[in-house]
Amino acid sequence: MPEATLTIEVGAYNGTPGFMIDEQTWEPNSLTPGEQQINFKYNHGATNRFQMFGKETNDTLVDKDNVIIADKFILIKKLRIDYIEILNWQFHKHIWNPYFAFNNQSQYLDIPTKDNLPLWYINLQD
Amino acid sequence: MSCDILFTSVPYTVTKIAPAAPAILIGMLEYHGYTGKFYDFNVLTLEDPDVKNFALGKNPSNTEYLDKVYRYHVNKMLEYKPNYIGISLFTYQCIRTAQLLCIYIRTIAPEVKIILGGPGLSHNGLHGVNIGAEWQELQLCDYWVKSEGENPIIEILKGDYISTPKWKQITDLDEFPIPVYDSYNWSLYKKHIPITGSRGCVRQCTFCDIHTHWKKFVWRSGKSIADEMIAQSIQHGIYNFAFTDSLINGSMKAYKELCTVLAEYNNKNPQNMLTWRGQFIFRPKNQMPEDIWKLSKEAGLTQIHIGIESLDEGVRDHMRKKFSNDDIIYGVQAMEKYGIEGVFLMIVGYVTDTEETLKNQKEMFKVLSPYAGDPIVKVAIGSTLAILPGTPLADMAVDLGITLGKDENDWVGLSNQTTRLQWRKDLIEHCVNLGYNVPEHVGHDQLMTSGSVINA
Repeated sequence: MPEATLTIEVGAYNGTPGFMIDEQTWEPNSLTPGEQQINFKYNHGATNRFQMFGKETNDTLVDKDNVIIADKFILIKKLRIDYIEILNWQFHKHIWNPYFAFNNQSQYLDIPTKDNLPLWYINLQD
Repeated sequence: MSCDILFTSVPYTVTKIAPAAPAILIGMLEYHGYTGKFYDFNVLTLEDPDVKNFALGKNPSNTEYLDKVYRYHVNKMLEYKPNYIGISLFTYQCIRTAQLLCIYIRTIAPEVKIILGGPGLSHNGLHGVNIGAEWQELQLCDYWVKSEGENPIIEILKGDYISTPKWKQITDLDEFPIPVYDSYNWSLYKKHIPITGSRGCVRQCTFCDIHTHWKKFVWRSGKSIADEMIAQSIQHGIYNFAFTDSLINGSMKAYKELCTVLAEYNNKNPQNMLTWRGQFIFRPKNQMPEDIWKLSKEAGLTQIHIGIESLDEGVRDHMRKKFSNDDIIYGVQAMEKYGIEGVFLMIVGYVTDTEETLKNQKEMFKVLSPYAGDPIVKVAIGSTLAILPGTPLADMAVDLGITLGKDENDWVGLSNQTTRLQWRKDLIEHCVNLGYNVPEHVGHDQLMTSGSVINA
């Protein structure tokens, strides 16, 4: 199975969240705060499930105006898969919101077949 | 049919002139016992709006159609059964399509190795970000070659090359075999064979980064150039040539020798006279006397592209162009007398430009207006001034009180981009009203909306 590289930013408040990509799990507080890279295996033409967990209701700090001061979160900044890189803005515009803010929040990434990869890349460009 | 390296150009470069580099590299391959072919993806898709839109960063109207176009051309390339595909990026406008082409090649034919080369490998001028290294890290390419590829391609085939931004300039251009155009489809092009007589430039113009790229001005002997032109014309039955040099008269010694050999050949072969065109610099009468103009015509010179840049002498002096308005008038009169066409290449909005210098330029265009159309066949008013990394202007920016912006056209000094775009519009209108032919090869709307030609 090929391996993809995900660049994430991990937000810490009362520790760091847990994260799962299919069966691969990073337990709460095992990820260090800040930007880092994690790898996961994938199959062309399959779907990968991404889930954040381990976040309680008091793991977000807000000020009197409800502006978030500190938060426990996962933000996908970049995904490198095969020969291409998908950036944060491309997730926002074409895939899904890459900011995981809620406990057990899940997203599903449909990996293209090898044959469809170039067209997938084209459709992520504008 | 198989070959060691298939070279291809990628969209988007507007040209109908056959590219020189693949033929030069194929000549080098054959000299060393390897084989090379050329497939011009750029010219084959030049009229396709979806290919163009994608290259220029806009949305193609139909992405599935674009997918089919790329697959078709990659499969055509693979019919040559290449071990390597060498992708030539002529300008920054080739970057998006080169990346997409790499993805298709990797997907369809992962066994084929990819080499990238050409000046378009760098963003923002020759000293900008090197995308070759980035793509190699992504495994989108196997090798990238900065600058001259003659020696690196042989080293790659021998398994003895590591891509590096460092390179040593070739100083003896006469040592290489003559270019091989056998695999070119000449029906795609104007019937002009490219020819290279020199590399680098004798001037050190403040806005240009070529000097830091090619540190030395090196040139071939006039006889060697003439011999190549004669041999190519006999082989391909094409008698028109287009020089790729920054200047064809950079070395007056070599230029005079070239003209002498070609004039003699043309006199002896009136049925197959050779003609040629290229980029030129105006020189004072004592450096370029009238007999050299006469000899140029006899040698077959038909059209010159002159980097005038500005018709204000003060601006041109600051640019270090080193010719006066009197030299321009002398040159234009000689061109008229000997039937040599000229294209003026202009830059609007130089760092010392003001309303006053624009007025001076307009006045000088008026003085030259009797020559509009003949011999000045075009005035190319390109982009507003871009301050590129690696240029003397970039080094002088602080001293000149210039604030550089995020794009190379978006700088503020004596003027800002809004003013410069207005000057450009005014100058185009002025020239058109005086009867000059001013093709808008860089659209005004494009400049207005993007604020940058380079990133447009």
